[in-house]
Amino acid sequence: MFAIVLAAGSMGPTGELLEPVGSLKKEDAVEIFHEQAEGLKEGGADFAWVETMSCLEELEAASEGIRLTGMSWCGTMSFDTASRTMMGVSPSEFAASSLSMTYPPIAFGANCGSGAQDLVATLLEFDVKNGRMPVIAKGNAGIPKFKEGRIVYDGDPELMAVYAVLARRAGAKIIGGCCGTTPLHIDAMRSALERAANVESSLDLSEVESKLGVLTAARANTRSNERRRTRRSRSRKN
Amino acid sequence: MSEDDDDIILSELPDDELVLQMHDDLYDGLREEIEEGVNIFLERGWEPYKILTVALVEGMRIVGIDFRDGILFVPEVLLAANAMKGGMAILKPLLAETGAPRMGKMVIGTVKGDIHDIGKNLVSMMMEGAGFDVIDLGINNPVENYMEALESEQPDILGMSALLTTTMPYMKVVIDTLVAKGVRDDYVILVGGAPLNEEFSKSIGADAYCRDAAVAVETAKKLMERKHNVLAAG
Repeated sequence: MFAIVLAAGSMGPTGELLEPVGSLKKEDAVEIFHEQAEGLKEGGADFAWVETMSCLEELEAASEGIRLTGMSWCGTMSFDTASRTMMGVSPSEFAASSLSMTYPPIAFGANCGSGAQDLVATLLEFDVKNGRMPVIAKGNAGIPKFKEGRIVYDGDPELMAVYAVLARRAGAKIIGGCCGTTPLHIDAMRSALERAANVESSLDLSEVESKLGVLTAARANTRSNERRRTRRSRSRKN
Repeated sequence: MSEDDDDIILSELPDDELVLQMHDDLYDGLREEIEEGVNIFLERGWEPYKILTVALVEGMRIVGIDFRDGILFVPEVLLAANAMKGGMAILKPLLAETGAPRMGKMVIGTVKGDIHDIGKNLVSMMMEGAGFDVIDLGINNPVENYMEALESEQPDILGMSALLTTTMPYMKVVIDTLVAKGVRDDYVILVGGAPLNEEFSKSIGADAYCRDAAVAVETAKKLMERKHNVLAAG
């Protein structure tokens, strides 16, 4: 017997910064994503999978491009900078905007970033228990190391198996791996998810750290992320 | 911002307050205000180098600290760097005329096979913001590009960037080439990019891994100081 398999077409960031911070116009970004999504659809993708995003405006541009193809889409961002994306988007901001987009994803979540432990911590910030949209977890299998002239990730299948079970406890409905994940990792993750009881016990950061390793980034709820300087008036007389 | 806030007229501020105001305006990425502030200080007879260090470099240092600490992110830092550039454009020709001291010179580029440049551009801007001369080689640089630029520019620092695990090993190709030519130790070599880490930087023989643009500036300053001390010690 065969399981039903859906093929997702992966799409990533353009590598350019959108106006006004950068020079890429939103409509040009939409066109770029539309062209890519159209190609993926022609190639047999059932839906689009936008990942490793850091900018909400760019993610929206991707959603508009995909909408033009009629495909559904999933969206994940990469929270690799002090528990936010490189552009400063927090997990909760992303969760809120996923629900309010003009052409919303069918599932949202996090991929890549730092280690698997940081990804589970990000899931906790999504506050998925109150969410109305399935949550995706795609963590890295450890961090990249340079061994004998090539890059290897230091997270073994056993680590990813532990991660998968924790990701489910943190509320993820779609669980996979990102960089460094091999078929061996996926196999171990699936076995672990089937073996472990799907318990609704609460998960906190200290348990994540004890099972997966110390978090690489301070979390928003454990530090002050207020702007340091008190602001003066910005208005000016000419 | 409410209507009740007092408007600030830059030209009416005494020197010390104007300096603080410029730090704030850099933090907020207000390019026109920075340009105005620079011009006011020039009119007041400040040396271009003093304006650069006291108002601009110090302001960018504060931006760098909050970037490093996860309080500011890429968009805010780009705006701040853009404001800094506005001020620098006024000061640069004057600095050259007055023979102001230099922080150091850096050649930087993204390695062969890699076309990502957001992080590299940030490092360039923050280094310029700290008073360094930066020669940016852009993206997708084979070892020949680095060698040519090192030869012609004679920088103190070589910076290499990569976003991909498939391209980051190329940094070792460049460093190995420098070693083979016997010029490795002529330069401080800094590397950075999302998939890199300290251990990788050590294993390829770089001098330091820089997690972000703020760390790159701090590291560059520290290593330049050390270099100067070594030179002074003869």
